[in-house]
Amino acid sequence: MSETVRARAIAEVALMAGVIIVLGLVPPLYVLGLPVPITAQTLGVMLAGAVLGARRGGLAALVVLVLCAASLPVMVGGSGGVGVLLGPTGGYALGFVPGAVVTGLAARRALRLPPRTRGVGLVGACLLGGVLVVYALGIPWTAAVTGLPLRTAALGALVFVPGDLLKAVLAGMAALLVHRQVHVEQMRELVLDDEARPRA
Amino acid sequence: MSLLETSSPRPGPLRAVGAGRKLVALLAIGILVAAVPRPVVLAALTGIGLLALVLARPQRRDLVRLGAAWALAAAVTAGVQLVTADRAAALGSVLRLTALALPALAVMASTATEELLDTVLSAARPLRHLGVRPDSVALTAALTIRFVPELADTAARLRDAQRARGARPQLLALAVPLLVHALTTSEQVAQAVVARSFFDRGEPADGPSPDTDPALCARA
Repeated sequence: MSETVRARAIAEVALMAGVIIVLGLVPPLYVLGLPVPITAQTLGVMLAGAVLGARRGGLAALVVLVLCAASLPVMVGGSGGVGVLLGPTGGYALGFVPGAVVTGLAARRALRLPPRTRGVGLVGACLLGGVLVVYALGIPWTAAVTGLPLRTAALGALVFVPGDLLKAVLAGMAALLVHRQVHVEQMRELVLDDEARPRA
Repeated sequence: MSLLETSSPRPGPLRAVGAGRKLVALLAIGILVAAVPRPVVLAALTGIGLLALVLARPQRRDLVRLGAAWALAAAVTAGVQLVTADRAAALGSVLRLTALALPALAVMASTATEELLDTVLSAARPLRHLGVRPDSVALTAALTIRFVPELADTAARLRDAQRARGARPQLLALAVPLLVHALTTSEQVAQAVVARSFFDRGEPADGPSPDTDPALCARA
């Protein structure tokens, strides 16, 4: 790997990890005028995959988990530490990495779709990676840590599903808008009539 | 605001134990709790955790914050178990959470953040044979820590700008410009890293100096 490519990969991963952390720290926001404020950390994870792709997106999520394990206040609301990862919701945090990877794999395919269906594809990628994969890890983890039956843990998680579905839709839309403005090489080739300019 | 200004453990018996050992012990407790959730085992682990916590001499601030998180999780789980199962199941669940929470709190209270960070990052060193370069791992972590305050500042400015236009802070209108900002900044940071020949210097020196540390120079 050339020096420039390596440096760019490191900078992208580091800055995206920063975005995931910051989206978890900002006070809850409103979505499309709805009166329910939601926090945005999982949104950041889906965006990491959908914008940077499987490899760098997954690494960005991994950096957040490593900093969390080192007791830095990087998770939602400024919590952090091994206690968070080992606690009842730790599986959802550990699901960040495979979640971002799967989102990235699906998003790369979605970006090759014709412009009309591209947005739908990106939303689908975020649903698959950011919701399905994260819950597939989070629910059994909650069951294992608390001793609840798997079914009860799954029922409890249902409370968060509407919010997460909404976030997946938003993340897909946001990823589409970002890809229109900035060209991310590893995700797609630059075409001639592209509005997104190369960054260098 | 700096992410690293977070812990100042008091001296005590557990403070002297290496961070790596404490993390491995904690992991072992986690596996035990998940694998052998018998009341005897859980009670014994809770006892060990309580002893560790006393040896760790936690500060009241940490104790309150993590105690509140534990109490919430315990109350919710116990409530669900009481409704769907019986009292024994509820007690078992609370015991599981306590057996995990006490030693975790002890480790966090008795270890400095820098020490934990060093330990976690040095765990990546054996991965060198798989092409993972330790200096790249350290640089990534350092850059993230360096740019979180900067990105938080940008997020705050974006929210202010939205409020100035009379809008309630919207998620989409925050995330998109924040990401575009992050991607453009990452290009500048990458150029700064290359300009300082970060990867050509062979073995890294003792510590980053303000002249050569790209994390410190990128925004200068």
